[in-house]
Amino acid sequence: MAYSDKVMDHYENPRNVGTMDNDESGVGTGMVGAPACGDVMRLQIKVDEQGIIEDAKFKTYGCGSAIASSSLVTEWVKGKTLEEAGQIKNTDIAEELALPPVKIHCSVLAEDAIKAAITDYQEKQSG
Amino acid sequence: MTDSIKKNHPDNYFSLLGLPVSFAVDKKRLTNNYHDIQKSIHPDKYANATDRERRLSVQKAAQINDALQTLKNPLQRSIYLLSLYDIELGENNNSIDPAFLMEQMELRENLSQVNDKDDPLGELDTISDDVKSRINKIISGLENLFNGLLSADEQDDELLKKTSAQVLKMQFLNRLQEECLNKEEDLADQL
Repeated sequence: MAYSDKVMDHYENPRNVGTMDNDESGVGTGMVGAPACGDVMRLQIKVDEQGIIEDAKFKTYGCGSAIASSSLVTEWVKGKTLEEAGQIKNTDIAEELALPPVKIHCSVLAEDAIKAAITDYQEKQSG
Repeated sequence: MTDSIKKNHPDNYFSLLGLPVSFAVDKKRLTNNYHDIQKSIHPDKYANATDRERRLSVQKAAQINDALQTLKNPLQRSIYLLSLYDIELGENNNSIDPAFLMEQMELRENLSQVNDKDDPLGELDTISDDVKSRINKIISGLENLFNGLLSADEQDDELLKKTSAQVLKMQFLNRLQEECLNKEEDLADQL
């Protein structure tokens, strides 16, 4: 199966790979896994006092589509409010990367990861 | 529970291969039965048969092959057993224990860093052994879990949930084991 140019671009030059200190205030961590294939994905966001996502990092162990989906999401969420970031849909990701039907679950994983990171951040603020 | 599974899935892989529905599988009996059946439906025996009979024998051979491949592998066998209860593994990405995922992430990180170590192959062996022992631990637990499920009179949803969670973990560990093998090949190529 051939990957689209956009997937290849993110796969070969992944944006924002890395780790944030989970204990730092303003950091939210989303950790998800795909039961179907055993991929694991960690997506982290750093939120400023205005509730804007100032930075995002990811690390994904999985196929090219999973890496590209998470890489793309970290690019998209920077500068967005939590609410805006929470509205990112897997279909947007799949469309942008021209993912074939068998790889749609990779975009679902990335959507779940950003949602999990937002939830984690919000729980930390209220906790 | 075994009776209702037999009733609802008369063509299940276990009965196709003449085995009891169970997580524990007698490997020898599995392969012996497989060869016996394959012999009995060998295409040569259908030289004078009708097209329909021949087509059915080919279908049967393919089915028996699928059954063997599924039943000889503990992960595939577990997933198959769950499917007899209409459970599809991990329909929900969020249902996985976060601590387990964290651990998986760490193990994969360690694996990705073996190249930087003084003794990459030794480091890889340590990780592979660790993954293997985690898988074996799950497998030995699954035997009891599936025994409990299959011997219960009524479907035990709590136990079914617990069993699915273990199978799900095995899925991730299996993937990690494949990655270990890939890494081994990479390292061998570099030598």
